[in-house]
Amino acid sequence: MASAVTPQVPPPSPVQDTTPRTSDSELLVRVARGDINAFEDLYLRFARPVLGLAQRLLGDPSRAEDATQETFAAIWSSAKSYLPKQGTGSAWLFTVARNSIIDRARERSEPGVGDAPDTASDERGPEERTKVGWVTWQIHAALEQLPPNERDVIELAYFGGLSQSEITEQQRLPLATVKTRTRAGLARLAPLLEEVHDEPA
Amino acid sequence: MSPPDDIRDLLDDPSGDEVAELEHVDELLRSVDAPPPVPAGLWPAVNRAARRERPKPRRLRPYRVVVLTAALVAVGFAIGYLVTGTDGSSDLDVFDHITLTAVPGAPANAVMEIDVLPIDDAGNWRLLAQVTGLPPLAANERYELWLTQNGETVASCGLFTVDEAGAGRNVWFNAPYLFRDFDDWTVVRVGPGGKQGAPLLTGAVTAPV
Repeated sequence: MASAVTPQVPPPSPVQDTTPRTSDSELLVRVARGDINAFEDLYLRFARPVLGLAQRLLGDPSRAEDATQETFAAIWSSAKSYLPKQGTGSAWLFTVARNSIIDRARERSEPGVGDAPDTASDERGPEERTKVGWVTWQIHAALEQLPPNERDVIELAYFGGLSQSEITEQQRLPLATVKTRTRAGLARLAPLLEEVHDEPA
Repeated sequence: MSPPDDIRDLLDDPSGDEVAELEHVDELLRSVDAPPPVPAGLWPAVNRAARRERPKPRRLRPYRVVVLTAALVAVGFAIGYLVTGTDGSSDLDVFDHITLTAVPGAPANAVMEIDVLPIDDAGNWRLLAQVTGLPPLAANERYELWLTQNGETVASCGLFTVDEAGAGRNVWFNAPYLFRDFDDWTVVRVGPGGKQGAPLLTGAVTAPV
């Protein structure tokens, strides 16, 4: 090998099947260095939480998709400002997403997040919506950490309203397997959701 | 949509603390809406949107470049005049010199010498390094030079390799940062997938800019 060397770009990362799972913080540090593979991994983890937050705050699926694009562009361009000592990667991503979505709502000059209503309403105010949004964000982000076979049965039960027997029929699985996967998924979520807070850490 | 009650049967099996933990999860899942399905076309759109943006490290601002360059020239002339009685222009090439030495556990003879050269037209410090004594790398490994804050690697200056003897000569880096934002320089080993190893070399940030 020649003695003269130059800085090198790392080779493309393989498809991530990480064991143990790379932390959100580590991915953000890699994104800050321009690692597009880490950026894609972050997208796979947080696309649903971001899109869900945007839909709740904007109320319009089409605008929510646009806001999600802008949120991930903001994550890509500003990941350098994330410092692990200041909090979890998930909390930083929530803050970036919330700010990006609120900016979008304000840019359009339409009634939206952060605008004071003209009349009294039973709807939640911006602060309450943000609080609820943070709790929902944590739950949706935790679901993304489950193995797909456990996530599927839990989502069919909790969000699809299917009984264990109905899941058995739909998934063509033995009832015992459905129960085992559901319970394993709930147990896997327990430590992830143990310290769900009302406000980002 | 609420899940059927038979899911609660699953919660009755375990005992003790586990019941409480699973009931907490059950309660949380019942309290939120389903996460939305992500359209297949969203990732390409996100990817395009991101590529239009470039990561924005904290760069030296143009006015700072002008001020720093003027200050460097003035200091260089002053030192050159005092030491040699001439304009001393050849002394201006190296703004600062940094030595990174081995941390406990790293090969004791490992060392990196870095010359900090004046800021280039793009506003980046240019760094020219010589390194010796590092352990040789596997094919899928690199070393990486970082600036740190409170022991955390927060700003990368670039990746590099070494030869079979663990040496690298004339390794160039760019540092688009204000050094005073950081505490130390450090060199870490980077494995497959960007996994960082423990620091091998370290040295204090001394430049007051």
